[in-house]
Amino acid sequence: MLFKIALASIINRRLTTILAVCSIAMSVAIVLSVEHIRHQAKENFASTVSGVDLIIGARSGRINLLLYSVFRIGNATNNISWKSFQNIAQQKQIKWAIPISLGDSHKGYRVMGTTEDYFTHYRYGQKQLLKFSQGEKFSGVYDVVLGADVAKKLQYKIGQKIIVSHGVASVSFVNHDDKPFTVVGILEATGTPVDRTVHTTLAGIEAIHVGWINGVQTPASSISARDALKQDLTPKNITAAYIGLKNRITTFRVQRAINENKQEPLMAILPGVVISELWQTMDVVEKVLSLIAGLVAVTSLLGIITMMLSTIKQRGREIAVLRAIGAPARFIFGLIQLEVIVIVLTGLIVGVGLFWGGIVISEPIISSLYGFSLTTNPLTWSTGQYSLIMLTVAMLFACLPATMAYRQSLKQGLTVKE
Amino acid sequence: MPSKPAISLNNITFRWSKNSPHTLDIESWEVNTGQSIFIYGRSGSGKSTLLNIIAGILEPRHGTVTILGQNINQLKQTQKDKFRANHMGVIFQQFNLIPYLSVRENIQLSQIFSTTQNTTKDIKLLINQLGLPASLLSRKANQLSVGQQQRVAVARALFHKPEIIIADEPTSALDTETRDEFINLLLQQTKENKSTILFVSHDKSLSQYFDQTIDLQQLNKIEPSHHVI
Repeated sequence: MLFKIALASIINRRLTTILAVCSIAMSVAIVLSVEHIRHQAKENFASTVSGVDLIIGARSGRINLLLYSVFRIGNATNNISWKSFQNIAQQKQIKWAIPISLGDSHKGYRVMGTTEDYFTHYRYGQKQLLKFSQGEKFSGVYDVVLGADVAKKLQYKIGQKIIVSHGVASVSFVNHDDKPFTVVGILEATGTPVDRTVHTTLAGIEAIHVGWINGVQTPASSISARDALKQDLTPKNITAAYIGLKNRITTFRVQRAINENKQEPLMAILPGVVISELWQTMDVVEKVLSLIAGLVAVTSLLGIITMMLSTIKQRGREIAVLRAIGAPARFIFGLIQLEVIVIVLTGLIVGVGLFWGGIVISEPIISSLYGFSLTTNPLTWSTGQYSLIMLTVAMLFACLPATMAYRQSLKQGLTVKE
Repeated sequence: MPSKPAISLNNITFRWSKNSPHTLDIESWEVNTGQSIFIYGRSGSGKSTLLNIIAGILEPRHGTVTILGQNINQLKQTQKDKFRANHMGVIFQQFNLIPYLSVRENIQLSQIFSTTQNTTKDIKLLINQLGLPASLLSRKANQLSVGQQQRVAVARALFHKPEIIIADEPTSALDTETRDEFINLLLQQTKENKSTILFVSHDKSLSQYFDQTIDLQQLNKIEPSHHVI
């Protein structure tokens, strides 16, 4: 009967009820979306690179090395010599070693020189290999393979000639325009920095810098693309290298050996470990996002309570009638509580529906635009937890109007003072 | 017929708080079972206080309130609520019904807090006896005219056959014609039920319908001018 009265009462106040339900639903959808995206972003971030056991580079900061070698952010402070790389690559614990060479760009996208092995060993996400949407891996010195974003934004097709600029600024005045590259392959979207990378051969990187001394082209030694091919294009330096081990148990031993290398100051990092270190630096952003979502939820709940409070005064007669027929004061308390619970529960259900629908609709859009994959079944245990917390807070807040109604019912008795 | 009095008040005093003056002081008052009592009281004469004390909602500072042989001062608040649900029917001046419930639901409300084994009245018969069509039962209470609402209020007050009916100015919102008809119906139903009725009004002309008339100003020893409304 309590339920029936509560239900009839809130249906009677249709408009305010609908608004209240909407406000709860919106805030629930916001909280769940923020939490979901936060979680997914973390997962995507953590899965930027997988299957790479170690990354080696010149001795500098661990995060710095990770940033330039995986995220294409910032620059290497120093290079590592080809000789050191060769020495390491030939060690018996090492299964494969992929050299990478950074420092040039194309229209703001980083150019990365590497070997064909990159396409067979580099993995991301759940140990997924890179796949070609068009074309294939490079075979010639002046071939490039584009990441999905590069191809899409610049609308490049297979066979297109592109010019590489010296340096990594988005507008560069020094172009390697004497040695154009040809697009031979385009990768599928991965949702990682690979999408924003122009891949080419180490030899290609070497060729465009033939005759360059200390990063400046010497006019006297300018040499044609064709002639450059006749030279020895084995690099003298590379920026970093990805390492795969035969047995992951040896990871720390190999890492220590590289870190203690006497010939050259080298450093090896475990990408997974450093990625999680990096994520922790974004802790504050994460917390602020959660806090804002939480505040939105609290605000909407406060709105409901304000609405309930304003109705209590108007409901004096109703309360008097219920008291007259023998309703104990706690029934009045329960009635107000129940009305809040029904509104919040309805809001929760609508909100979860909104959130779920939103994710289902936006998933293909987000995934194609940003290569950021969202799971389409976002209803997890934490959805239930958030709903429960919200309901509990609502019930706590509802004690205020409920207590007011309770007090009023005791004080006014059977007579309503206008 | 030597039966217990339906209502018996002894040395009742009441004031809203320690610092405020008394609003009610009644030495002794008894109402016999089955009687219809007209209580004449102007506003501020303490009638609201009196009704609330009899209904067990307000607690007198001193004195005993005995209803149907039960000293209700000794009951806990929730027991008083239950006692009221079981033994009393209340009719207000106006707005007796929960606006968003149907007439039928409003009438049945009186039963939900009651724990007596009394059989309830036939709801259709009751509504017909009060001169209302049964088709009204499914209507929302706020779709009824004031006169109809007051009759539904009578139906609700009588539905679970309570021993005591408290009517607080139930006719003040009605015009003269409907008022007379209303009072006749109310008293007829009450009599059929063998219930005791306390009917409060400031309209002295209504006293002709009742067994006994009490002037609250004579019953209450406090001067009206002292009253805090």
